[in-house]
Amino acid sequence: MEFEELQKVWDKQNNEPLYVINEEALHRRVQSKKRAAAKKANWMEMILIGANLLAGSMLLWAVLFKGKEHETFIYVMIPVMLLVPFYLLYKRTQRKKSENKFEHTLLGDIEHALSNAAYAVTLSRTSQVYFLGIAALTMLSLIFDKDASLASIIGISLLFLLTLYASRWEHNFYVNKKKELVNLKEKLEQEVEA
Amino acid sequence: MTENKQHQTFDQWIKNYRALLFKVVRVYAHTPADQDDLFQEIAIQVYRSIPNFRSESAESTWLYRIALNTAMRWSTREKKHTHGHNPVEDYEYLLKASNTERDERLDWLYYEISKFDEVDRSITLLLLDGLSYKEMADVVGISESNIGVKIHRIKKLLTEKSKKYDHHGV
Repeated sequence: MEFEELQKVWDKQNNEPLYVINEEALHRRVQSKKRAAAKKANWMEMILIGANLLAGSMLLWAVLFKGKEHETFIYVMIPVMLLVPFYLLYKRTQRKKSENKFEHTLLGDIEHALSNAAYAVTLSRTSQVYFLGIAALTMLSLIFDKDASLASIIGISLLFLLTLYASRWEHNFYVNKKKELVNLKEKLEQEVEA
Repeated sequence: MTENKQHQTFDQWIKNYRALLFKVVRVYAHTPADQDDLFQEIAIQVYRSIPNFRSESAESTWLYRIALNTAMRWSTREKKHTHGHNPVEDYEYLLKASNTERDERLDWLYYEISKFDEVDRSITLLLLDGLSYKEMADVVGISESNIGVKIHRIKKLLTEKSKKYDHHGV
């Protein structure tokens, strides 16, 4: 064959696409993504609730039984840390309730998965802001604590920076997962229109 | 760019350039699982690229650049880490071959292109899809004169191989 003939063979596929999208496979994949997103949201909530309860209780215990100086910053942190888990439980209940509002269709499944992914993105963003607040209060508390050494202040600052970096990575991870789902949804909508 | 506008553009691109994306997938990925994986990855990259599109190049050129870049990176990564996915019996694929009658000559052509290195595969694909030297140079990132040299070699090679193919009477 001459090259022009090869070109003609090649051009044939322009009018007849090589593939079609397997909607059933897409459905199963979406369900799998949906379950994974729900599991991650669940895991994030539990970690945040546990960490806040633990840290808040430890601070309270230090103030009540260890004779720790009664600094304003610690007094602010304790109620915040002990109340945040209740707020998270409320948000979790709302999320669970909203799970039944989605249709049991391919598109409904994608919407559901997207809703969970969006929730994870919001939660991770809120956690970052909340974490910054807690870090600021802790640093202020250390700075005003006459017994705190410079080394401990630097060490704790570095720890906070590392945690912040990790939380940013985590947030980006959820953002990308959400984008993947948006992508799947668009593909499906396009198939429906075609 | 709003998210809604990004979605609309994505819809339109996938609809209008689906054949282009399928060609890239088939040139770079050979098992159904790999084709599925690569198609999904290309689609994600296309979606992410939309806010950066400035209409300085044709949409098809832009999409070729995104798709081929993704395919080349994917191909390198697969070779390095997994040597490709093995077919799995109970795996359900996102893409499946359409029921249109298979053209053995087209299968042969894809097979021959798949034997080229990553860059030559891209150039062959662009050549067969009728892009100009300038467009090819923009997509691949090498000079037009280099493109010319490569195209001459590719054309010669494919024509020689096709003659052998004809002689075997397939």
